[in-house]
Amino acid sequence: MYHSREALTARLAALLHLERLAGPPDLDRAWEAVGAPEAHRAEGLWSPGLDRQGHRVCALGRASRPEVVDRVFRGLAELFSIEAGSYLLVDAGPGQAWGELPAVALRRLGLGGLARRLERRLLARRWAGCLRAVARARSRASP
Amino acid sequence: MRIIYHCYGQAHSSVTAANIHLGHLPRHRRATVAEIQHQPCFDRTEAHQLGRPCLMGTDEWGHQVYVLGLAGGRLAMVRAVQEFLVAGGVDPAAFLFVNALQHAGVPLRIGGYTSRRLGLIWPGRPLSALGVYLKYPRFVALVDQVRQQVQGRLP
Repeated sequence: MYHSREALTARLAALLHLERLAGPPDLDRAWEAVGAPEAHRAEGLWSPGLDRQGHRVCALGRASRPEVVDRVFRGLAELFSIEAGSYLLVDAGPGQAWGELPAVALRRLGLGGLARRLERRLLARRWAGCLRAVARARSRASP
Repeated sequence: MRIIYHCYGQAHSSVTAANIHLGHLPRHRRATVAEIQHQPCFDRTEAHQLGRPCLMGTDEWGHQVYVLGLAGGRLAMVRAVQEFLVAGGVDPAAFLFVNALQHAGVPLRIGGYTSRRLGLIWPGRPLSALGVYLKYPRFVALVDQVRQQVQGRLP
């Protein structure tokens, strides 16, 4: 389960994990796949599919600190007797909730094209970090 | 069933709702500011405890009542957590998440921030208690609604 402050980064990491965006940064396809922030801001877990090992890959925009997400999920998993090895939480990057706000504001003002450019730049900045998060997740995930 | 009252910092709104639910605070009259300030766990949560579900007690029907602080992303987090629990094989009837922050007014928010974030217990704690006092009937209404919802269910 990839999580980041805003939802875009976690979703990018999830898609990279599933190799839907493998290779050099492809911002056109990445943006189309990840989607605009307003469309998913209020959603919970975003599950684009299963990876080759059969693990379900999810993304979460947490709008909070990573350690809070860790405590919430681990605490509730323990409370409801969910096995600790059945899930893996991965911080996808140092995203900031306000990172996507300029684009959201621009879209509300009817400047969708400019908003889209800002979101692409955000994804471009996060690409390398997401690849590292994916590598970290793969090394920790049991087969 | 596990009833989980959630709010921002796990220190005021959720604690008050849980204590009303468990009978530690009155349901049929407005609690005094002193009673609110001295209720169990009020304005006590430290930063390192935020996000860890805390058991407050068991109600008369055997349901366990918890408080939980989710910081900024409450709505998205609650949805995500519910989906996570169901995916983990938990029966959706085994838990109930209740947003206790919906009735928190400005004095409570400022008091909570002053006490928990800035570390200024005074004036933060009395201001938080005053904030709860002002909205107390709404907290009671919220808890009554929850209690009606869960009273016939198996624990």
